[in-house]
Amino acid sequence: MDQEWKQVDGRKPYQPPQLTMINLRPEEAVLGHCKISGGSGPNNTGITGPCEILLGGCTPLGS
Amino acid sequence: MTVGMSEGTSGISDGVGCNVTHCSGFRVGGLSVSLKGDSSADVLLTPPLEPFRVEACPSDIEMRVDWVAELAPTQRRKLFDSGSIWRLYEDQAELQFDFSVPAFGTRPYKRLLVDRHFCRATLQMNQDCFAGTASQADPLEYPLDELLITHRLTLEKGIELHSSGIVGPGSESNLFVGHSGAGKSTTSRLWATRDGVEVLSDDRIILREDATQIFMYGTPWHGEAHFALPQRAPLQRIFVLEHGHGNVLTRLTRSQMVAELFARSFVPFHRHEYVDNALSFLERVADSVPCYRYSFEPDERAVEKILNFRD
Repeated sequence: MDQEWKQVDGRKPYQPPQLTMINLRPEEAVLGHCKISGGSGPNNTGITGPCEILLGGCTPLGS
Repeated sequence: MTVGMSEGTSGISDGVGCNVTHCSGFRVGGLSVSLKGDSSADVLLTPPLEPFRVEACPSDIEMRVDWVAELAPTQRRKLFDSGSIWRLYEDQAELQFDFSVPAFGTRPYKRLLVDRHFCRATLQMNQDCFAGTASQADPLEYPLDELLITHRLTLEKGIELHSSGIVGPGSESNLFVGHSGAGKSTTSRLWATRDGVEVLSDDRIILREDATQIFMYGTPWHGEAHFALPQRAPLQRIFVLEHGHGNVLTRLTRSQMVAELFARSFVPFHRHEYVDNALSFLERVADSVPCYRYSFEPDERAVEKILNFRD
C-alpha cells in the first residue's frame, strides 16, 4: 500500500542519510604546492623566477 | 614607480582601464582577466596561457601590475596559510595575497590586492627582491593566475576539479577526476590516440553551469601529458579514477558523488560561503550528470570499456 501511494504521489522512497568519508589532501587541494610542470610557472617557460632559483626547482605532482 | 601601500587603506590602483601603456588578457573557464602594466614584461602571458589569450577589455577581472620599492610585512589579519609560497590576509575592504620564499626572508616578493568580488586587483612586485639577480619576474607565475580564477569561480556557478576532460569520438564527452597519480594523464594519452578525440586538459578542468546544462572547460594548467585547450563541451558523464584489476564501473550515489568530487576540487577553504557555494554547485552537477567509480588498468581496454558503456 505504501509503495502504491509513493508511486501515485511521485515521491522517491525514503533513504536514510549516508555518511561518506573522504580523504582531503592539502598538498593537492591547496594551490601552490609545486604544480609547476602543469602551470604557467618558471619551469615551463624558461624564465627563471623565485620558485626556481630560490627553491632549487620543484618536483611536480604527477597526474 | 608606486610606493608600497599603507596599512588600512586600499592598495587597489585606480584607473585600471585600458589607457595604460601595455595590456594583455586571457580567458579561462569563461572568465576573462585583463592585465595592465608599464612594460611589456609586466603583461607577459607565459606559453601555457598563450592559447587562452583574448582581447584585454572588457574583462571579468582587471589587474594592474605595479613595481614598488619594497613590500613591508603586513599587519592585516591572516585568513589562510597555504603551506607553500602564499598567505592570505584581509581587512574590511579587500583581500591580500602575499607571496614569499625563504631566500627572501619574511618580506613578500609580490603582493596581490583584490576586492572581495574578485573584479579589480593590483599586483605589487617587490623591486628589491629582483634587483641584482638574473631572474626575470613573471607576474602571473603559478599559482597566482589559478588563484584568481578559482576564487572568482566561487562567486559564479563553477568549480575547478583535478580532472581530465575528454571530448569525442562522436558525441562522447567525459570527465575523469582523480588525485595525483590516479591516471588522468595516462587516460588522456590513451584517448588522444583515437580519431576525433580532443583532450581539454589532462589535469585541471573547470565546470560551469549555464541555464540548461553543465559545461566543462579546458585550462592552461595541464599535467604531465601537456593537454590544454581553450574550449568547452557539454558534460555527459563523470568517472572517478582509481587503479585496479580489470575495468570495473560502479555507480555512485548522489552523496558519494558530491563527496568524491569535493575531495578533488580546488575550493578556497578560508570562507564558509565559498565552501557552501561549491557544495551547492556539486549537488547540481550530481543532479545533472551520472558519476561512476572507475577502477581501471591503463591500456586500450580501459578506453573500449567506456566507449561501449551505456548508462
